[in-house]
Parts: sequence; C-alpha cells; structure tokens
Amino acid sequence: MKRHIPTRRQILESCIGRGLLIASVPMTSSSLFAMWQQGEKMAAKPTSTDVLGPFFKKGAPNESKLHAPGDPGFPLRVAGKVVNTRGEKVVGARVEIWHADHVGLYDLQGFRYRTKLLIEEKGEYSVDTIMPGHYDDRPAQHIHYLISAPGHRTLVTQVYFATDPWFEGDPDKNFNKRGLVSSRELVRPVTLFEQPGAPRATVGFDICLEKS
Amino acid sequence: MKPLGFLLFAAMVCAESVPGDRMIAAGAVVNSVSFTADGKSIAANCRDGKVRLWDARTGVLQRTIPIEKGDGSVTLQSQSDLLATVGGDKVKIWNVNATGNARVFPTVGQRTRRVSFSKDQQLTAGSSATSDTGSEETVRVYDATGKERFAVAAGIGGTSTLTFSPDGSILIATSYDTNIRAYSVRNGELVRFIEDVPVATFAAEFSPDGKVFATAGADRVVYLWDAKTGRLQRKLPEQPEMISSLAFSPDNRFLVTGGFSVITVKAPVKVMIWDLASSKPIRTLDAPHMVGSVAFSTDSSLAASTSGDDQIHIWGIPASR
Repeated sequence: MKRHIPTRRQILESCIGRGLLIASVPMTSSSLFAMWQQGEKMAAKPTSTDVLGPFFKKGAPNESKLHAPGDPGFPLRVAGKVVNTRGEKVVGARVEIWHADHVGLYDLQGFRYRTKLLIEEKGEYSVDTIMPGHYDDRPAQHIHYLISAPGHRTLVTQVYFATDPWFEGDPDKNFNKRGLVSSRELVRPVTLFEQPGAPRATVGFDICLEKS
Repeated sequence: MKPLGFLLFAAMVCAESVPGDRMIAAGAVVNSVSFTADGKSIAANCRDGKVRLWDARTGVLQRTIPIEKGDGSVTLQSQSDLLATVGGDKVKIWNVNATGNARVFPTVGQRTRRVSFSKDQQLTAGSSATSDTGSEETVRVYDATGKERFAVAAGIGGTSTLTFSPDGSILIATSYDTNIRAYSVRNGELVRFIEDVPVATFAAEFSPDGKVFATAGADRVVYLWDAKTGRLQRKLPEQPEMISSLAFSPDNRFLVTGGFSVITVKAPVKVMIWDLASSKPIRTLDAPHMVGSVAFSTDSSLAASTSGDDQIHIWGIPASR
C-alpha cells in the first residue's frame, strides 16, 4: 500500500490543532501558517560574495545579447532568478554583468561583454554571451556580477564553471585551489544544448539578496 | 595626441640613461619602495619579510628591519618615516629612522586592508570590509594614540587607495566601485563624491602644495583634480598600460607613474616621468613586470620604481637640476 506523505501545510495544521504550535497573540491558523512560512523563507541563504576585481566599468547598456554573430568563443547563456532571503522576487533590481573575452581580455575602452540589466516583473534574467577565457592573473573562468536593488544590500559576486579545467573535474575538492573561489556554491554545473549549427552552454545562477 | 603619435613621442623620450640612473640589488623581491622624509635613505619592503634601508646617495645598505610573521602586509609611504604592518586585529607602526618599539594599536571591525598616514604622522587611515558578509567597505581614521576618530561608509568592492592631503584636512579614498570619495578628516563628513571616472582608480596622491590631487587606474589616464573644488583640471595623455602607482615630485613639477598590462602582471611595462607644466613625458623607461610602487626623492632629483623583481630602479630627473 502506498504510504501517505503529509504536506508541510498538513503537518503545520496538525501541530496547530494539537497545540504544538502556539501564537503569542490570538490569530487564525491560516495567519499562523503564513507567518511560519514567511519565517522559513527568511532563512534562505543570500548568495555568497566575491571580489569586485579591477575591471568593473560603469555605464554599461541594458543588453541581454552580449555577443555578435561570428564572435569567437563558445556560446553561453547565463540565466536565473533574482530573489531575496524571504523568497520574494526582486523586481527593479539592476544586475551588472561583465567578463573577459575568449582569450581572457576585458574591454575597458567600450562595453564588450558588459551589461546592466533591469529585472522586470518575472524577477528573472538571461544573458546570451560567450564562455570567458582564462587569464594568468585569475586563472579560473568567471563572470562578474554586481546587483543592486532598493531596500536590499548590494551584492558583488562571481559565477564559475564546473567544467573549467582549473577545477580538474572535481570542483567539490578543488573549488578553493589557491584561494581563488570563496564558495563552492558559486561553481555552477554547465548544461550543453545543441542549437542549429552549433552547441551552446547554459548555466543557471540564481541570485539571493539580503534585505537591508 | 593620437595613440600612434604618442607612442612615437614616447619612444623618442625613452631610452638613454641620465645621471642618477642606477639599480639597487635588494636581495629579495621588492614589494614597495619609498624615500625617507630627510631624503637620505631609500626604504624597501621586501617579500622575504624584511624592510631594508639603503643610503640614497651611495646605495649602501644601512639597516634591516625584520617583520614578524603574523604582522601581515607592510605599508611604506614616501616622504614619510613611518612603516606600518597590518595583521590580524592590530596595526603596528614604526619609525624607520629611529630605534625603539613599534607603536601598536588595535583596529576595529574587519581586517584592515589599506593604510595611509597623514604627513605630520599623527593620523592613520585604514580601510576594511564593513562586515564578514557583504561587499560594503568602511574607512576609519585613528589618532596618534590609536583612538578611532571616525568610521565612514566607503562604497562597495574594496578601497584601492587612501591618501591624506598635505595639511591633513582631507582624506581621499578611491574604490574599485570607480567612485572617488573625499572626507573631512575632522569629522568624516563626505565633502566630495566624484563619479566622473568610469573605471577603477588604482593610485591617488595629492600634490605636495595641496592644490591638486592626481588619480589614475584602469583607463591608463592620469586625472588631475582641483583639490579645492573637486573639479577635473586636466588629463595627461593616455599611457601604454593601466596605471597602478604614481607619485609627485616634492617640488610639484613632475609625476612618476607605473602600471601593469591588461593581459598579465608578468608582462613588461613602462615607467613614465611627466613634466606637469607641459603634460608631456620627459622619460619613458622599461620595467620588466607590473610596477608595484613608485616614489620621488625629497630633492626631486630621483624617482624610484619596483616591478616584481629584486631590483630597485632609480631614475635621474634631468630637468630637475
């Protein structure tokens, strides 16, 4: 016989009914449940920070396609949600993204591979670009993020790629090699898709901001 | 000036050596260099954990100061006799020209990353992360006893330089967030907020007469700002590489700059000595790697640079004589 697994709501309602979850002031069981749920959401961990680095440039345009036809480099889509530690969408957030080109050079004259996105109603972002190259001084491939939103702490972070040879096929073990990557969660798996004529890599990177 | 024209001009002023040019073998890789306030010594912070002082005229080693393990990173400041180490939760400050114990005081908050001294050596500024999570930065100023005078917000992403005005009234903090902040040293009030530079500044210094301050960084340009109004006075022509270090000559006539390649810090770069009256380089010199530090001698006749090897390069300034 298939075992019935109660939902989180059913467990909490049962606890309320048995007097195991009590409100300090009188409130309905549905309010108590909502408050509990909010408290759980508040426990969501903010995205780890990383260094801003020397190559940030302000004034980037709001563009979701950063590479031009014929650009060298492996096509890459980076996408994710922008939420806060309460699990709420952060509409109106500004997500600045910048990275080196396929040989590891940053464009400081113009805005190649740089964007400043405005997060709209869906609370999501998506950028089509190329896989950044390696460079000697910071040898793991990475994409920089600077995220600001009213009522939230500004977040500076980076995303890395689990397929990067720098991690020697074992990011769990090697993510902090030479102290380069501060947090394992920033090393993301890469999914390969076939698009007409060429493969494309996709990386998911959700961003969680702290309320200020 | 167009880049090609500038490079040709730079090649013309490059090259031959002038009186004063020489090298000092430091015995270890040199992180930074400075001249002492009396101009008699050259001090270098070496990667083997020692600060060494040489006679600036003869190049003879005068003194070696060992830095204890755990004292952390070392800051030397030109035209100053102070040497600071920042490690753990304390700052230690020595006078390199005097014997005796270091002045030690505890720092507040997170680990201090940048340190600067006022010219009268009475104030110390330090920058650190605001908390152990997040990217906000805080700048603090301490008096001579180590008592914190104020702590102020200083942007996000870290402080790249801190520098006091010669009269000690203003502290400038440049940030990797690209903004330049000027604080009143009296109470920490933000008196100027400059957003005009789109990229990070890596070096900043006031002219010795206090009339201008120079900033430079990732866009290879030296910006000269009016110290009173905070308005841009002028820019020097673009350099071949990003600029990581700069220093004014004490007579306010020259500026020495050095930097690093966007490709790698290991690539060879140029050290440039600028005549500020004409905004033109009077010498363009070769450095093997990223220039970690530049300095001017007290009499403005010599500039010094370090670039990731065990040599201190001393450059003569012909027009200063």
